[in-house]
Amino acid sequence: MKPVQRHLITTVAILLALALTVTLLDRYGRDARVFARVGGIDDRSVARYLVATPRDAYGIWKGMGVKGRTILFVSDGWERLDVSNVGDIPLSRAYPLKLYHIPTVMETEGLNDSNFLYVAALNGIARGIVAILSPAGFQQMTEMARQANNKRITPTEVYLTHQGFPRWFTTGEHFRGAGEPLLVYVSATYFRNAEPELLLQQLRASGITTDCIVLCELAGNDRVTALERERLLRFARLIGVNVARTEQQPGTMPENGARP
Amino acid sequence: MRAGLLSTPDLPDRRFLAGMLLVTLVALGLRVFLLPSQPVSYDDYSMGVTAINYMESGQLGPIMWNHPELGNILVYGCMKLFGTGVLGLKGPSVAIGTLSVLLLGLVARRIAGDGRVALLAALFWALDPLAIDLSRQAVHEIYMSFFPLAGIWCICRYRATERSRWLFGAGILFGLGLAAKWSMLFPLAVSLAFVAHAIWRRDKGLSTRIAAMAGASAQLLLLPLLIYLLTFTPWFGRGYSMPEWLALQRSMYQETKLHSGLGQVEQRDHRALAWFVRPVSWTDTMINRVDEGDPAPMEDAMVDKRVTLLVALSNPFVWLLVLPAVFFTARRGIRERNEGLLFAVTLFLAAYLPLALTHSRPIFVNAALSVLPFALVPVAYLLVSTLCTTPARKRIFALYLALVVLASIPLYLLAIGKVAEVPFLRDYFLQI
Repeated sequence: MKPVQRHLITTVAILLALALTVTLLDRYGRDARVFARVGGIDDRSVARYLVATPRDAYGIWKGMGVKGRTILFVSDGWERLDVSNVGDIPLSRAYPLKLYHIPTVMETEGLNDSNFLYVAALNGIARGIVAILSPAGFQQMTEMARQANNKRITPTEVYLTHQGFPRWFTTGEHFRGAGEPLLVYVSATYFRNAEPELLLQQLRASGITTDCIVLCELAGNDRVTALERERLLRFARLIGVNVARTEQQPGTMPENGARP
Repeated sequence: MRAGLLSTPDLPDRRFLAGMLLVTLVALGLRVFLLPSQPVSYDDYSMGVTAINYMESGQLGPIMWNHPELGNILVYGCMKLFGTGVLGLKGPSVAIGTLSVLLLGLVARRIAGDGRVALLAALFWALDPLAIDLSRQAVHEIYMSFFPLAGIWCICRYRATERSRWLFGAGILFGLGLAAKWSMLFPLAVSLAFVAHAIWRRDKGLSTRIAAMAGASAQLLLLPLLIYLLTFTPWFGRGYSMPEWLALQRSMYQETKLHSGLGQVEQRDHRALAWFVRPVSWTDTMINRVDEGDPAPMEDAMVDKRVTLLVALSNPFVWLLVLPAVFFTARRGIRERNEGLLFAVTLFLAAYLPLALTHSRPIFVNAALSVLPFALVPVAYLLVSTLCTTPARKRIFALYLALVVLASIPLYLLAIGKVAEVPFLRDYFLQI
């Protein structure tokens, strides 16, 4: 074989191998996402739950078996729900080391109402978070993001990663959808200064699709007022969730689809 | 142009091979001596957890999330084979750190065209406190010495034989190097330019040159990219797509560009410009209690036996020669039109200058691992060229070598965390 031919064959073969690798990895990633039945925000066939605590939301996602998803997190502020670096490294470290699988340990021993998004990220349920915050919560997030290394700040959106995990923050007014079905989580705190009708209108306008909507009352959280919970229930009714049982036994009612 | 690369015989003589074997064994001994009793640092332990986290869940972190993933893959594989003992956790670093000594000798022989230069450079690397320290830790710092050397050795073999399988091998090794640390980009760029220059001079006719350059570029750019991509397979398994991978690379770059490390920057050597001008150090502090129930507070870290300091202090007899040696080698290379020497100098400059000129973040001494192998070849070349000529100068050379080895003894004890057990050395070094 002539050298020119050999060089060209080498070049083409490597180019093809690279193109194939890019395609297969992209496909592998997209195929790893697991969805349930998908519909619009007020599609009655989509699984919808009213839960007492964020931990219950995690349990629902886990039970549904969803994977590789983007969570739409609707709340007044980001608070302490950060994807944080939890390193329970023991001070005594003798060989052989007792190493552990962080996702499993966090799920079985460390899951709480503050870190449920982090645990969802660790366990592969979430691969990104889009947070709709109140204008004040968004402003606070913008100020916090200025101190971070990995950020992109615009007047309407903040993009921030934590250890490579992507998060977007915006407001209901500026939310424009995410281009894929979302796991929707709505906290009662969002209704501190917002009306349910307006949120529903904004979500409809964004054209989002979803396969699971979880509405969280944050039972036991003293900072959540009765008015906020009442508005959450109003939002639940607006999207067709029957809240009758919830009003009798707050925080215990799965709407449709079996509780995991 | 004279080319050490072309004039160096393919098969080294027996004396060289025996010398390299001896130096490599010394390197291995220094890297494993008392290693099981060396405390497991926070980073060592975290490296194990991070490797599990990545390989079993595709999750980045908790440590070094902004660096590529080869370290996680190798450590995880080694732990699967050998368990979570010292071999499983630190086996890859020890093996790579030891083999980098052998590779430095082989590369130096190729580019300097002299077995004595090669043996001396390898000996310096075998004794270097920084290389020893980080070959004894689970973190993947030492990889940034090994993979560039391995790739460059293949480039040298390609240059000598013009067989493209060496270029293919270089592409794979550069890809693994990129998947270890991005510092690989600098020697990769120099190697590509070096190969392109050789092709341009060798081939006649535009179409032949273009075809050869396309082949070389595919093997030295696209093939490494392919290898690099493949190391992210577990991460893709979390549901990510290719556009999201590109966004991750941007985040990793942003973090790496601005990373300031933990702890007080000003109290540590953090400017690469100082590396070859004055002694510099890299320190790891390890707190390792014997048992979890030990509640006693740390009152004085310097005397508390639960605290171990690993201090990699540069050997001034070697490091301070680097800049004059590079100048000498460059001058000699230009005057003699020696391709190998110019390659060595360019590799050093390409690896060092981006770090020396960085001001957006601190550059700590551990990063010198990506530069030092290329610095030691000129140092060895300077010494052999100037001192191995007459019997009188050879005596000076022997004296110098004795000085380097003698200085290496306390520096070694510092690097492995044992200096506190030697009263005189403890008082001298730990009061710095």
